[in-house]
Amino acid sequence: MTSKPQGTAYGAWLLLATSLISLILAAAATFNEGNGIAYTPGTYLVLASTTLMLLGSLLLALARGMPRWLDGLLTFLLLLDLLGTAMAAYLLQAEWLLACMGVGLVAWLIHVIADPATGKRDRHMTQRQEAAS
Amino acid sequence: MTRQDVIAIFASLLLSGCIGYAQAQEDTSTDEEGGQPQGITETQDDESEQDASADEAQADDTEDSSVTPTGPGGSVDTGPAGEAPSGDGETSLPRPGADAWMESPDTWATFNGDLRAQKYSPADQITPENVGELEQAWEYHTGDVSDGSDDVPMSVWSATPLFVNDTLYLGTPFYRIIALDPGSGEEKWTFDPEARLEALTQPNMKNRGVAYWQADEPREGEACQKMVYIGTMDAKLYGVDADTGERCADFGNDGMVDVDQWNTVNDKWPLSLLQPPTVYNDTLFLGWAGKDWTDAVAPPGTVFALDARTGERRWTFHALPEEVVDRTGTANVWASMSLDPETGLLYIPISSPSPNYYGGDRTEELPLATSVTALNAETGEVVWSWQLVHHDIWDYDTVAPPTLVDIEKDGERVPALVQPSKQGFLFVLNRETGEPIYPIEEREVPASDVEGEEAAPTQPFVDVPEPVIPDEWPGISRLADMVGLGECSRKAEGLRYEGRFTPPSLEGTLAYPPTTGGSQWGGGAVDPESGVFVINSNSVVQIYRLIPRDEFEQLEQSGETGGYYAQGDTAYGFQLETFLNWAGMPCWKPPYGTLAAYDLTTGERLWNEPFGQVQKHGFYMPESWGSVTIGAPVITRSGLIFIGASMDSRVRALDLKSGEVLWKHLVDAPAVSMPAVYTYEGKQYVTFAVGGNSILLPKVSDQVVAFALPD
Repeated sequence: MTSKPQGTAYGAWLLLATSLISLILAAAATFNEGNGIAYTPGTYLVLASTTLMLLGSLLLALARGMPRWLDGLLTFLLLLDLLGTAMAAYLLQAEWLLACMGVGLVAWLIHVIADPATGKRDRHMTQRQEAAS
Repeated sequence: MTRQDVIAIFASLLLSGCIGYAQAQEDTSTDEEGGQPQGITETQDDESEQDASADEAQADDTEDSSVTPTGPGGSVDTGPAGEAPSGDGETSLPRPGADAWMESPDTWATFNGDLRAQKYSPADQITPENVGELEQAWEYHTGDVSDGSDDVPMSVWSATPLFVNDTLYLGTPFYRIIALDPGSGEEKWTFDPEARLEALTQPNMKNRGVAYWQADEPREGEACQKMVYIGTMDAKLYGVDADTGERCADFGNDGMVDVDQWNTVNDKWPLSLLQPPTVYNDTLFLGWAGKDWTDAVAPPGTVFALDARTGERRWTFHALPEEVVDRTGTANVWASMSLDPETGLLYIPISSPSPNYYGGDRTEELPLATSVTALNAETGEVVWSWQLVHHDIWDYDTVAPPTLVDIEKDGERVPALVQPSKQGFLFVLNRETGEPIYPIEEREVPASDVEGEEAAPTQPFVDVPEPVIPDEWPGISRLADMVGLGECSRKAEGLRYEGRFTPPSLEGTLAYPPTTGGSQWGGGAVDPESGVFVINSNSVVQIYRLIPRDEFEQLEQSGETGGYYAQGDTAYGFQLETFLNWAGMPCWKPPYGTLAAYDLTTGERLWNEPFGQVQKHGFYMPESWGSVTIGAPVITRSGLIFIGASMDSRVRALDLKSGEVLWKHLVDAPAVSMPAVYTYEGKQYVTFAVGGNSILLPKVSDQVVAFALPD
């Protein structure tokens, strides 16, 4: 039997909110004709990356019982997503999206430093070790 | 590693095709910008048959013609409306002075703003201090646009809007004329010649606008006292009433002159009229565009002078001697011209002869080819000529009109012209005599190592003003080389490069600048009061490779025709390749485009800044890389430069003194045209035709957008 980690994952929730806003901004960049970048591969790229970011942050915020290795992998992939989207936004000159990525990076840091760990893998291992002894 | 390097690496990995795409597109361009058209599906025979009846309907004036030699190798063929030149070398210049209607400070009545191609407006309402407040006044869409996805080839629109007769006139890439209210953009009338929308000579539907003429004293209520003209790709010139858009019945055959009736030598394709005529003294001066690289023998270069009212031919200037036209052709005038209204001298930028990259079958001197030549506008006689490239085997067409301006030298006012060039030199000549104001030095250049070719032993070089691009190619881009795992370096080692004018070779020659220039058809702008000259330029590296005919045929059979050009049946075919790595990144160092200002009184370059931004897949590259540009700057008296031209679909205002960008605005596509600056009802407008050009981006538009200060 596992127990969910205690406390609110403020970082994950902030990242989720940022991802949602970013997705809206990316959609606007993609479909708002006349902005100089609409319907280009660059905007499709950020649309995809922010969609993935939203899904990832959803998992991070809601699926608190996932194994620690998966949490770590997801956190790492989200960092790559944030950095990649930030670079893409910079090159697309999509300033608001770039600002969102800045906020997202802060949220990511909060998650890594301050959010309660899921701890699922450790507890499971401990239970098995206890059973074995 | 700097922040910019990091950005550049990331950006380049993501956007590796950015310049590559643009250059690949250049490969399919034409002699308009230095490339080769593709997709010509209609044969000249078909064209001739279709036009036969029209030709018959037109008066054949050849019976009344007389041919007189003029200048070194040229000749003038005088039509029924013309006056035969004396032929004794003495020129009688026409009456001085510009037509009054084109001298108003409020108008933009010609392609270059005025006959002198100064691209200068005395308007000073918009200043460096308030240009930041500039806002869109109105927008209009012509509807004449094609992305090439249907039957109509892609559109390329580089029209300068004309403001004259209280109306803004536009020519579209579908060869319609549109008249707009200059203050609101509301449509007044349109004229549709129902032209053939086929890539007869150019790969795209191209147009650079319309021309305007009016009688010295227009008679009230009488039609066609004011006229607007537009040419088509199939060599038709239409003249319509400037107030109504109705055809002018007295102009040619019911408002149309078929210029192809004079296309009688090597008539492999029609004489495409993409550049609007130059208008002066009730005369239209008309060059034409064709297609290079496919043929060795092509229509020889001509300039026509037509009566503005009737379209009757006054004279035809021939740039090539008759005895060589069975082996060569072109040396035509496809860019705009300039004219000194005080002296009546017409200045024509003459392009290179065909075939463009192998001259073994045209080894005799062709002095008027790749030259700037002054003609007597009245008779077509050559007054002087200066050849800018001897035995041109680089496709260094004289590409832009010379800018005419008086400059102060040693306390004296000197009538000068500034001739930009693809090779990057700015030739500053006395426009009355053709003598250099700044030295032009003949220097030894590398010999050709290709059997049959006889490259000229010397070429003209200019040190002052400093060339618009460096003497030496920029060198290998570390970034591109790194991404290409050393591909750029390895490729460069196998190429021949001995500086400017290294001849095309079998192993491949690194060409800098290549056929793209250097400078392009827009040319420069000048502030006649301060003598400051501004010009945009490109820094591009390409590889020229000649291919023996038997091997070239094999390549064609294997389907490898992309970037390969036949050059007729000469001993060598030709391959043009932009110097890129596997990922499509330019192998040479940026910047790829700059904007520079020169003090013509000293020849000193005042500033030279990367201009615009490369954009690919929506991503903008660093500003320090600049952008390849197509278009031209305009200068205002208040010390501003207005220019579109860049890949990033922005139009900008810059400070003439420093080159600093003071204002920019996003438009629908690259504004590959020059803006019109005019004052209407007390308000200054800056109006751009925004059409795009596949050389820069596969992005097209039909937008006309005017900017003004808020009320």
